[in-house]
Amino acid sequence: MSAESLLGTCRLILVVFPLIPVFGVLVILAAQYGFRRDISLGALRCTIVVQTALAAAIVYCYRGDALIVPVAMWEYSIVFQWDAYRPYFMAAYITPVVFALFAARRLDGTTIRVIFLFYLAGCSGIIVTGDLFNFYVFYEVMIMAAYVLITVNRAYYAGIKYMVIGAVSSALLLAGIILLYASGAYLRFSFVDEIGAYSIDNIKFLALLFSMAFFVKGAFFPVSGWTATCHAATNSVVSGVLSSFTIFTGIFGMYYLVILPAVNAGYTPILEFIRILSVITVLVPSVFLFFEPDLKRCIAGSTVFTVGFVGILLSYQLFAPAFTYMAIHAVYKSTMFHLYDDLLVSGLVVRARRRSIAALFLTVLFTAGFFPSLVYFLKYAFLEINPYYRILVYVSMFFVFGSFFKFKYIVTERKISWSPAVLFFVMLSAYYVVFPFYRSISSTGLTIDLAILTLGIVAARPLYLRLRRFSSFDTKFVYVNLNFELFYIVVLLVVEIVLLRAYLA
Amino acid sequence: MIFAILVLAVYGLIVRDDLIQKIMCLTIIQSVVILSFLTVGYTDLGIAPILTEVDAVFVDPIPQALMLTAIVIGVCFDSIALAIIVKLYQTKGTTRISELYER
Repeated sequence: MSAESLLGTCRLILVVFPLIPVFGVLVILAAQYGFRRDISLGALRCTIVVQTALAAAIVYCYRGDALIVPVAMWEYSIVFQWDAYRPYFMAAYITPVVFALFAARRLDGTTIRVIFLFYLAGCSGIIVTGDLFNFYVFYEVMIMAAYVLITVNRAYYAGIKYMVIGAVSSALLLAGIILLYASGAYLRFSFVDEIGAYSIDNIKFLALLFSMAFFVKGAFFPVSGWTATCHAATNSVVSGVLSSFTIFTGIFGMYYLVILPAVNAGYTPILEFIRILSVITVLVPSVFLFFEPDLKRCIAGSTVFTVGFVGILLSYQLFAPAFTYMAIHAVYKSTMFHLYDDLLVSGLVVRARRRSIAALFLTVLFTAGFFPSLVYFLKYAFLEINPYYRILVYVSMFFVFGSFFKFKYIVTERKISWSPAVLFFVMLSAYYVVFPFYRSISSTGLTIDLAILTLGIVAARPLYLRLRRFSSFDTKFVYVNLNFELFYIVVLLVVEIVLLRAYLA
Repeated sequence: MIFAILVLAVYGLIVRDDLIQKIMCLTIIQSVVILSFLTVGYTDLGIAPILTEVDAVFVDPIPQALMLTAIVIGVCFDSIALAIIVKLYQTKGTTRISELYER
């Protein structure tokens, strides 16, 4: 194919991609009301297959610089965009969606499947959006559907909690959009090219508003308490997409609307603030995780730990490792949620088939980031910048690994309809083949890793049982109720203002 | 004036115990944001941005389009939130978060 035709294909895919789930909805509704037939399961699966094929096609066809596709020949027209980092977000989206393809039956009922398709439409739109107007609309489509999907298991409080937190972050995002527009910018992401011409006060306010919006959406500490409650409340298919992709739309926004503008405008204190907050986000939630007695909440809560590492990498402008981390995270996090349905959990005792336990062990290895997991190599990107990060990494690794090994695992043989373990191993093998960040490792590092691994396996459960009175430490003392979580947003805003004005400026 | 309303709404959002009151506070916050953006696109004596006369002065259509979208999203949000609160009340018998503690 010629370069011109490849470009034409890319343009077409960018516009069509978010419309595929909407088309699926229309087909389901037409069959439902026209022919009284329920084809929702087939339509959902077809949508996922078509989107996966289109995702592969655009990654294959894309070459070179950012591709911007306006939908009209007007300078204010909304645009779709594809650039060097979009494939990572596409991978983070497609991975849980492929898991959903095999577990689609768990989305029980036509209504839920239709809402799930709207959810996919919002997610797909965010990946290809090139301006803030689009981003806001697609984000709201995605999150509105998510609000409903969270309540499928009658977890209404989790749903309303997600709604309130989500609405606050959306209000902050909207306020940022106002300021950006009032500064004289178009709403396209390409505003960063001319941001140097804006007033520095406006740039600071923009960074403040957008960063706060995405700290909340991306679940940075201390505004991360909702993740365990909300992501664990629904079924594994939805939880997988929420934890693998939706939470990282905060990272998407952070990259395009905070970090790139800050770098272009030379406003680096915001990067330092993101780094400080990311370090805390790695450390504190991993300690909370250790005292969490519910396995599904452990799986959901461990996403915050990953967000912290991605934040550190982003703050050093190590974009490729950061987004690779996010894409790999999608594989093991989706697997964990789907594996959860494979387990019989009773208090701190987990019964499962041998294959499921093996897969779970590997996913935990990835979550904590031990050798030879792929994320282990990604951490080296910032470990070399500051050696003190090693302490952070080792301490957090122990707590995260220990949070899963405080449970007692017992092998049982029971019949299950579908196991995600095979899909996990296939995807993981593919990632190992294409992974570009391998590097030689020191024997000291490997020995310490092995020591922490052994300590986690041997000492986590006795330590947890000894400290059991601190069980659910976070919900008892830190995230006591929704009011506390909302208060932390204000606290974070004040701390960010004070730090940026007084210390980091 | 807008700032004062915003502060009150944020205060209400944080301290109020009742979920319906929280949703009301969120709606007020959203209205404040929408009003702020509409003032950005306001032009004295500007007419609606529909091309009727060549020399006419129009208000900026971008804030209006975006805020119209935000209003629609706000209505969706309110309806979904209230629907969930009704379900919550039916199952738990209260809408007060201090009585609703759910991990």
